[in-house]
Amino acid sequence: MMSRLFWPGIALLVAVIAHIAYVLYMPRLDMRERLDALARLSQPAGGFHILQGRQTALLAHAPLRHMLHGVCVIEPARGQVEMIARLPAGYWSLTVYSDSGDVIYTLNDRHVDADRLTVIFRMRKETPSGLPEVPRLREGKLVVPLASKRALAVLRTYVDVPGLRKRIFRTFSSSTCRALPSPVPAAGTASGS
Amino acid sequence: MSGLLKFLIAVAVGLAAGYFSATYMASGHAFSGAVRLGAWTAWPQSGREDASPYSRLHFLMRGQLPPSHFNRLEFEAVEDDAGDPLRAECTYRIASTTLPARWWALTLYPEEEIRRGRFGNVREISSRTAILARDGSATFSISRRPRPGNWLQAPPKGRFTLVFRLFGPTPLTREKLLSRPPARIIREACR
Repeated sequence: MMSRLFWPGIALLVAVIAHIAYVLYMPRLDMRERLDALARLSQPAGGFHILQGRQTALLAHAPLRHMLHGVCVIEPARGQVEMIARLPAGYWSLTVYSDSGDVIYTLNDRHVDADRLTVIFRMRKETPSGLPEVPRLREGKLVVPLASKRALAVLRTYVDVPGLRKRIFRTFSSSTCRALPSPVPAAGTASGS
Repeated sequence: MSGLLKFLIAVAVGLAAGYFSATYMASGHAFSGAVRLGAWTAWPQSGREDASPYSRLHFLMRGQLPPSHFNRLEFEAVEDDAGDPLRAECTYRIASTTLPARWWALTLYPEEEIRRGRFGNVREISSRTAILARDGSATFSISRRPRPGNWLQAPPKGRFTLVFRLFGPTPLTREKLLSRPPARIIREACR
Protein backbone atom coordinates (compact mmCIF):
# COMPACT_ATOMS: atom_id res chain seq x y z
CA MET A 1 0.00 0.00 0.00
CA MET A 2 2.72 2.46 1.05
CA SER A 3 4.82 1.70 -2.02
CA ARG A 4 1.83 2.39 -4.29
CA LEU A 5 1.38 5.83 -2.73
CA PHE A 6 5.07 6.74 -2.78
CA TRP A 7 5.35 8.17 -6.31
CA PRO A 8 1.95 9.95 -6.26
CA GLY A 9 3.10 11.42 -2.94
CA ILE A 10 6.32 12.68 -4.54
CA ALA A 11 4.30 14.18 -7.40
CA LEU A 12 1.99 15.90 -4.91
CA LEU A 13 4.93 17.29 -2.96
CA VAL A 14 6.54 18.65 -6.13
CA ALA A 15 3.16 20.14 -7.15
CA VAL A 16 2.81 21.98 -3.84
CA ILE A 17 6.39 23.31 -4.03
CA ALA A 18 5.97 24.34 -7.69
CA HIS A 19 2.65 26.04 -6.91
CA ILE A 20 4.06 28.07 -4.02
CA ALA A 21 7.26 28.94 -5.89
CA TYR A 22 5.34 30.08 -8.95
CA VAL A 23 2.86 32.18 -6.98
CA LEU A 24 5.51 33.83 -4.83
CA TYR A 25 8.46 34.26 -7.17
CA MET A 26 6.94 34.72 -10.61
CA PRO A 27 5.55 38.21 -9.85
CA ARG A 28 8.94 39.20 -8.42
CA LEU A 29 10.79 38.02 -11.55
CA ASP A 30 8.23 39.66 -13.80
CA MET A 31 8.52 42.94 -11.91
CA ARG A 32 12.32 42.81 -12.08
CA GLU A 33 12.21 42.43 -15.87
CA ARG A 34 9.68 45.22 -16.12
CA LEU A 35 11.83 47.56 -14.00
CA ASP A 36 14.91 46.72 -16.09
CA ALA A 37 13.03 47.52 -19.30
CA LEU A 38 11.64 50.77 -17.90
CA ALA A 39 15.06 51.78 -16.57
CA ARG A 40 16.53 51.19 -20.04
CA LEU A 41 13.84 53.38 -21.59
CA SER A 42 14.68 56.34 -19.39
CA GLN A 43 18.44 55.81 -19.73
CA PRO A 44 19.39 58.41 -22.37
CA ALA A 45 17.62 61.27 -20.60
CA GLY A 46 17.51 59.68 -17.15
CA GLY A 47 14.68 60.22 -14.76
CA PHE A 48 11.10 60.78 -15.80
CA HIS A 49 9.84 59.15 -18.96
CA ILE A 50 6.44 59.30 -20.64
CA LEU A 51 5.40 56.00 -22.15
CA GLN A 52 4.22 56.17 -25.72
CA GLY A 53 2.75 53.62 -28.09
CA ARG A 54 3.81 50.07 -27.38
CA GLN A 55 5.92 51.14 -24.39
CA THR A 56 2.64 51.37 -22.47
CA ALA A 57 2.50 47.57 -22.55
CA LEU A 58 5.21 47.58 -19.86
CA LEU A 59 2.57 48.82 -17.43
CA ALA A 60 -0.71 47.62 -18.81
CA HIS A 61 -1.23 44.78 -21.22
CA ALA A 62 -4.73 46.00 -21.90
CA PRO A 63 -4.31 49.76 -21.62
CA LEU A 64 -6.93 52.44 -21.31
CA ARG A 65 -7.02 54.30 -24.58
CA HIS A 66 -6.80 57.81 -23.17
CA MET A 67 -4.52 57.20 -20.20
CA LEU A 68 -1.16 58.93 -20.21
CA HIS A 69 1.59 57.26 -18.12
CA GLY A 70 4.84 58.78 -16.89
CA VAL A 71 7.34 56.60 -15.02
CA CYS A 72 10.43 56.95 -12.90
CA VAL A 73 12.53 53.98 -11.80
CA ILE A 74 13.82 54.66 -8.29
CA GLU A 75 16.85 53.05 -6.69
CA PRO A 76 16.85 54.39 -3.14
CA ALA A 77 19.71 52.07 -2.19
CA ARG A 78 21.97 54.33 -4.29
CA GLY A 79 20.77 57.52 -2.62
CA GLN A 80 17.77 59.80 -2.38
CA VAL A 81 15.71 60.49 -5.48
CA GLU A 82 13.70 63.65 -6.01
CA MET A 83 10.68 63.61 -8.25
CA ILE A 84 9.04 66.87 -9.25
CA ALA A 85 5.67 66.03 -10.75
CA ARG A 86 3.98 68.68 -12.86
CA LEU A 87 0.32 68.02 -12.45
CA PRO A 88 -2.44 68.71 -14.93
CA ALA A 89 -5.82 70.05 -13.92
CA GLY A 90 -8.33 67.25 -13.41
CA TYR A 91 -7.72 63.64 -12.56
CA TRP A 92 -4.20 62.31 -11.97
CA SER A 93 -2.71 59.69 -9.70
CA LEU A 94 0.75 58.87 -8.45
CA THR A 95 1.37 55.25 -7.50
CA VAL A 96 4.63 53.83 -6.18
CA TYR A 97 5.24 50.10 -6.68
CA SER A 98 7.78 47.98 -4.82
CA ASP A 99 10.04 45.57 -6.71
CA SER A 100 7.56 42.80 -5.96
CA GLY A 101 4.63 44.63 -7.55
CA ASP A 102 2.91 45.83 -4.38
CA VAL A 103 1.57 49.35 -4.14
CA ILE A 104 3.67 51.13 -1.51
CA TYR A 105 2.08 54.51 -1.75
CA THR A 106 -0.56 56.24 -3.80
CA LEU A 107 -2.33 59.56 -3.97
CA ASN A 108 -4.43 61.45 -6.46
CA ASP A 109 -5.65 64.94 -7.32
CA ARG A 110 -8.12 64.89 -4.43
CA HIS A 111 -5.22 64.90 -1.97
CA VAL A 112 -3.01 67.57 -3.51
CA ASP A 113 -4.43 70.90 -4.57
CA ALA A 114 -1.42 72.14 -6.52
CA ASP A 115 0.05 72.01 -10.00
CA ARG A 116 3.37 70.69 -8.74
CA LEU A 117 4.34 68.03 -6.25
CA THR A 118 7.83 67.30 -4.96
CA VAL A 119 8.45 63.81 -3.65
CA ILE A 120 11.67 62.59 -2.05
CA PHE A 121 12.21 58.84 -2.13
CA ARG A 122 14.76 57.32 0.23
CA MET A 123 15.49 54.06 2.00
CA ARG A 124 13.39 53.41 5.08
CA LYS A 125 15.19 53.99 8.37
CA GLU A 126 14.74 52.32 11.72
CA THR A 127 12.48 54.32 14.01
CA PRO A 128 12.95 54.44 17.80
CA SER A 129 9.47 52.95 18.27
CA GLY A 130 10.26 50.05 15.98
CA LEU A 131 7.26 50.86 13.80
CA PRO A 132 7.86 51.28 10.06
CA GLU A 133 8.42 54.84 8.88
CA VAL A 134 5.46 56.34 7.06
CA PRO A 135 5.40 58.97 4.29
CA ARG A 136 5.12 62.53 5.59
CA LEU A 137 5.38 66.12 4.50
CA ARG A 138 8.61 67.93 5.30
CA GLU A 139 9.26 71.52 4.17
CA GLY A 140 6.58 71.22 1.53
CA LYS A 141 8.06 68.02 0.13
CA LEU A 142 6.53 64.61 0.49
CA VAL A 143 9.09 62.15 1.86
CA VAL A 144 8.36 58.54 0.96
CA PRO A 145 10.54 55.93 2.73
CA LEU A 146 10.99 52.72 0.76
CA ALA A 147 11.87 49.27 2.04
CA SER A 148 12.68 47.78 -1.37
CA LYS A 149 15.95 48.42 -3.20
CA ARG A 150 14.12 49.42 -6.36
CA ALA A 151 10.71 50.92 -6.89
CA LEU A 152 8.63 52.36 -9.68
CA ALA A 153 6.71 55.63 -9.52
CA VAL A 154 3.88 55.88 -12.04
CA LEU A 155 2.14 59.15 -12.72
CA ARG A 156 -1.14 58.74 -14.60
CA THR A 157 -3.67 61.07 -16.07
CA TYR A 158 -6.69 60.54 -18.29
CA VAL A 159 -7.15 62.76 -21.34
CA ASP A 160 -10.21 61.95 -23.38
CA VAL A 161 -10.51 65.43 -24.86
CA PRO A 162 -8.23 65.37 -27.93
CA GLY A 163 -7.69 69.15 -27.85
CA LEU A 164 -6.19 68.96 -24.37
CA ARG A 165 -3.84 66.06 -25.01
CA LYS A 166 -0.92 68.14 -26.32
CA ARG A 167 -1.12 70.59 -23.45
CA ILE A 168 -1.34 67.92 -20.80
CA PHE A 169 1.48 65.99 -22.46
CA ARG A 170 3.66 69.13 -22.26
CA THR A 171 2.79 69.62 -18.58
CA PHE A 172 3.51 65.99 -17.81
CA SER A 173 6.78 65.88 -19.72
CA SER A 174 8.18 68.79 -17.75
CA SER A 175 8.18 66.53 -14.67
CA THR A 176 11.62 65.46 -13.51
CA CYS A 177 13.16 62.68 -11.53
CA ARG A 178 16.78 62.85 -10.40
CA ALA A 179 19.18 61.40 -7.86
CA LEU A 180 20.02 63.89 -5.16
CA PRO A 181 23.69 64.41 -4.31
CA SER A 182 24.72 62.62 -1.13
CA PRO A 183 24.89 64.90 1.89
CA VAL A 184 28.39 66.23 2.54
CA PRO A 185 29.79 64.60 5.68
CA ALA A 186 30.48 66.87 8.64
CA ALA A 187 34.06 68.26 8.75
CA GLY A 188 34.98 66.53 12.02
CA THR A 189 33.96 63.08 10.84
CA ALA A 190 35.54 63.46 7.39
CA SER A 191 39.00 64.49 8.58
CA GLY A 192 39.34 61.68 11.11
CA SER A 193 40.18 58.94 8.59
CA MET B 1 9.88 0.74 -14.85
CA SER B 2 13.12 1.98 -13.41
CA GLY B 3 13.15 4.16 -10.29
CA LEU B 4 14.72 7.08 -12.19
CA LEU B 5 11.99 7.06 -14.80
CA LYS B 6 9.29 7.00 -12.10
CA PHE B 7 11.01 9.88 -10.36
CA LEU B 8 11.17 11.94 -13.57
CA ILE B 9 7.50 11.26 -14.31
CA ALA B 10 6.50 12.21 -10.74
CA VAL B 11 8.50 15.46 -10.98
CA ALA B 12 7.05 16.32 -14.42
CA VAL B 13 3.51 15.62 -13.27
CA GLY B 14 4.09 17.62 -10.07
CA LEU B 15 5.54 20.63 -11.93
CA ALA B 16 2.66 20.66 -14.40
CA ALA B 17 0.08 20.33 -11.61
CA GLY B 18 1.76 23.11 -9.61
CA TYR B 19 1.83 25.46 -12.61
CA PHE B 20 -1.75 24.78 -13.74
CA SER B 21 -3.19 24.99 -10.23
CA ALA B 22 -1.44 28.37 -9.73
CA THR B 23 -2.75 29.80 -13.02
CA TYR B 24 -6.20 28.38 -12.27
CA MET B 25 -6.32 30.19 -8.93
CA ALA B 26 -4.93 33.38 -10.48
CA SER B 27 -7.81 33.43 -12.95
CA GLY B 28 -10.16 34.28 -10.08
CA HIS B 29 -11.62 31.07 -8.71
CA ALA B 30 -12.82 30.42 -5.16
CA PHE B 31 -10.39 31.18 -2.30
CA SER B 32 -8.14 33.18 -4.63
CA GLY B 33 -9.10 36.58 -3.22
CA ALA B 34 -11.23 37.47 -6.23
CA VAL B 35 -14.87 38.50 -5.92
CA ARG B 36 -17.44 37.31 -8.40
CA LEU B 37 -20.36 39.69 -9.04
CA GLY B 38 -22.70 38.42 -11.74
CA ALA B 39 -20.61 38.04 -14.87
CA TRP B 40 -17.86 40.26 -13.46
CA THR B 41 -14.73 39.37 -11.50
CA ALA B 42 -12.91 41.89 -9.32
CA TRP B 43 -9.81 41.76 -7.11
CA PRO B 44 -10.76 44.23 -4.39
CA GLN B 45 -7.48 43.99 -2.45
CA SER B 46 -5.22 44.38 -5.48
CA GLY B 47 -1.97 46.21 -4.91
CA ARG B 48 -2.04 45.86 -1.13
CA GLU B 49 0.94 44.28 0.56
CA ASP B 50 -1.42 41.91 2.40
CA ALA B 51 -3.40 41.08 -0.76
CA SER B 52 -3.76 37.48 -1.81
CA PRO B 53 -0.63 36.40 -3.73
CA TYR B 54 -2.96 35.20 -6.49
CA SER B 55 -4.12 38.78 -6.96
CA ARG B 56 -0.56 39.93 -7.74
CA LEU B 57 0.00 36.92 -9.97
CA HIS B 58 -3.31 37.53 -11.78
CA PHE B 59 -2.36 41.02 -12.91
CA LEU B 60 1.31 40.40 -13.61
CA MET B 61 0.51 37.23 -15.61
CA ARG B 62 -1.65 39.43 -17.80
CA GLY B 63 1.20 41.89 -18.16
CA GLN B 64 -0.32 44.55 -15.97
CA LEU B 65 0.76 46.21 -12.75
CA PRO B 66 -1.86 45.60 -10.06
CA PRO B 67 -4.18 48.60 -9.82
CA SER B 68 -4.13 50.36 -6.49
CA HIS B 69 -7.34 49.41 -4.67
CA PHE B 70 -7.29 52.93 -3.33
CA ASN B 71 -7.45 54.62 -6.73
CA ARG B 72 -9.57 52.30 -8.79
CA LEU B 73 -11.62 49.16 -8.94
CA GLU B 74 -11.49 46.94 -11.99
CA PHE B 75 -14.20 44.53 -13.04
CA GLU B 76 -13.58 42.09 -15.84
CA ALA B 77 -16.10 39.97 -17.76
CA VAL B 78 -15.48 37.28 -20.34
CA GLU B 79 -19.04 35.99 -20.36
CA ASP B 80 -22.59 37.32 -20.22
CA ASP B 81 -25.08 37.01 -17.35
CA ALA B 82 -26.21 33.63 -18.65
CA GLY B 83 -22.64 32.30 -18.48
CA ASP B 84 -22.00 32.18 -22.24
CA PRO B 85 -18.74 33.60 -23.62
CA LEU B 86 -18.87 37.13 -25.08
CA ARG B 87 -18.79 36.64 -28.85
CA ALA B 88 -18.35 39.08 -31.72
CA GLU B 89 -21.32 37.74 -33.70
CA CYS B 90 -23.78 38.55 -30.90
CA THR B 91 -25.41 41.78 -29.84
CA TYR B 92 -25.32 42.69 -26.16
CA ARG B 93 -26.99 45.23 -23.96
CA ILE B 94 -25.00 46.37 -20.93
CA ALA B 95 -27.11 48.03 -18.28
CA SER B 96 -25.05 49.73 -15.61
CA THR B 97 -26.33 50.81 -12.24
CA THR B 98 -25.60 54.24 -10.81
CA LEU B 99 -21.91 53.97 -10.12
CA PRO B 100 -20.66 55.79 -7.04
CA ALA B 101 -17.24 56.59 -8.42
CA ARG B 102 -15.68 59.84 -9.57
CA TRP B 103 -15.59 58.55 -13.10
CA TRP B 104 -15.46 55.27 -14.96
CA ALA B 105 -14.48 53.76 -18.28
CA LEU B 106 -15.81 50.66 -20.04
CA THR B 107 -13.36 49.10 -22.47
CA LEU B 108 -13.73 46.23 -24.92
CA TYR B 109 -10.66 44.15 -25.76
CA PRO B 110 -10.87 41.60 -28.58
CA GLU B 111 -9.35 38.29 -27.50
CA GLU B 112 -7.12 38.33 -30.57
CA GLU B 113 -5.60 41.68 -29.61
CA ILE B 114 -5.08 40.61 -25.99
CA ARG B 115 -3.27 37.49 -27.20
CA ARG B 116 -1.01 39.45 -29.55
CA GLY B 117 -0.54 42.31 -27.09
CA ARG B 118 -1.30 44.78 -29.86
CA PHE B 119 -4.25 47.06 -29.56
CA GLY B 120 -5.46 48.70 -32.71
CA ASN B 121 -8.64 50.58 -32.20
CA VAL B 122 -9.42 50.23 -28.49
CA ARG B 123 -13.17 50.56 -27.96
CA GLU B 124 -13.82 52.63 -24.89
CA ILE B 125 -16.54 54.79 -23.37
CA SER B 126 -16.02 56.83 -20.25
CA SER B 127 -18.52 58.56 -17.95
CA ARG B 128 -17.39 61.82 -19.54
CA THR B 129 -18.37 60.76 -23.03
CA ALA B 130 -21.32 58.43 -22.34
CA ILE B 131 -24.96 59.40 -22.46
CA LEU B 132 -26.19 58.95 -18.89
CA ALA B 133 -29.68 58.64 -17.47
CA ARG B 134 -30.81 61.17 -14.86
CA ASP B 135 -29.86 58.82 -12.03
CA GLY B 136 -26.36 58.36 -13.46
CA SER B 137 -26.95 54.86 -14.83
CA ALA B 138 -26.12 54.04 -18.43
CA THR B 139 -27.02 51.52 -21.11
CA PHE B 140 -24.55 50.41 -23.77
CA SER B 141 -24.89 48.35 -26.92
CA ILE B 142 -22.18 46.07 -28.20
CA SER B 143 -22.58 45.01 -31.81
CA ARG B 144 -20.69 44.97 -35.06
CA ARG B 145 -23.09 47.46 -36.62
CA PRO B 146 -23.54 50.98 -35.23
CA ARG B 147 -26.41 51.57 -32.85
CA PRO B 148 -27.86 54.75 -31.41
CA GLY B 149 -26.77 55.80 -27.93
CA ASN B 150 -23.73 54.41 -26.17
CA TRP B 151 -22.23 51.96 -28.63
CA LEU B 152 -19.08 49.86 -28.47
CA GLN B 153 -18.09 48.19 -31.71
CA ALA B 154 -17.68 44.42 -31.47
CA PRO B 155 -14.60 42.99 -33.19
CA PRO B 156 -15.08 41.34 -36.61
CA LYS B 157 -14.75 37.86 -35.12
CA GLY B 158 -13.82 35.87 -32.03
CA ARG B 159 -14.43 36.46 -28.37
CA PHE B 160 -13.83 39.58 -26.37
CA THR B 161 -13.35 40.81 -22.81
CA LEU B 162 -15.00 43.76 -21.12
CA VAL B 163 -13.20 45.76 -18.43
CA PHE B 164 -15.08 48.23 -16.29
CA ARG B 165 -12.73 50.56 -14.41
CA LEU B 166 -14.06 52.78 -11.68
CA PHE B 167 -11.82 55.57 -10.48
CA GLY B 168 -11.65 57.29 -7.12
CA PRO B 169 -13.96 55.12 -5.02
CA THR B 170 -14.10 56.08 -1.35
CA PRO B 171 -14.01 53.34 1.32
CA LEU B 172 -17.78 53.66 1.69
CA THR B 173 -18.53 53.54 -2.01
CA ARG B 174 -16.12 50.62 -2.45
CA GLU B 175 -18.32 48.57 -0.13
CA LYS B 176 -21.34 49.50 -2.20
CA LEU B 177 -19.58 48.78 -5.49
CA LEU B 178 -18.50 45.36 -4.27
CA SER B 179 -21.96 44.38 -3.13
CA ARG B 180 -23.55 44.10 -6.58
CA PRO B 181 -22.48 43.76 -10.22
CA PRO B 182 -21.55 47.09 -11.83
CA ALA B 183 -23.67 46.19 -14.86
CA ARG B 184 -25.80 43.45 -16.34
CA ILE B 185 -24.65 41.87 -19.58
CA ILE B 186 -27.63 40.70 -21.59
CA ARG B 187 -27.26 38.90 -24.87
CA GLU B 188 -29.93 40.04 -27.34
CA ALA B 189 -29.26 38.13 -30.55
CA CYS B 190 -26.58 36.21 -32.41
CA ARG B 191 -26.02 35.86 -36.14
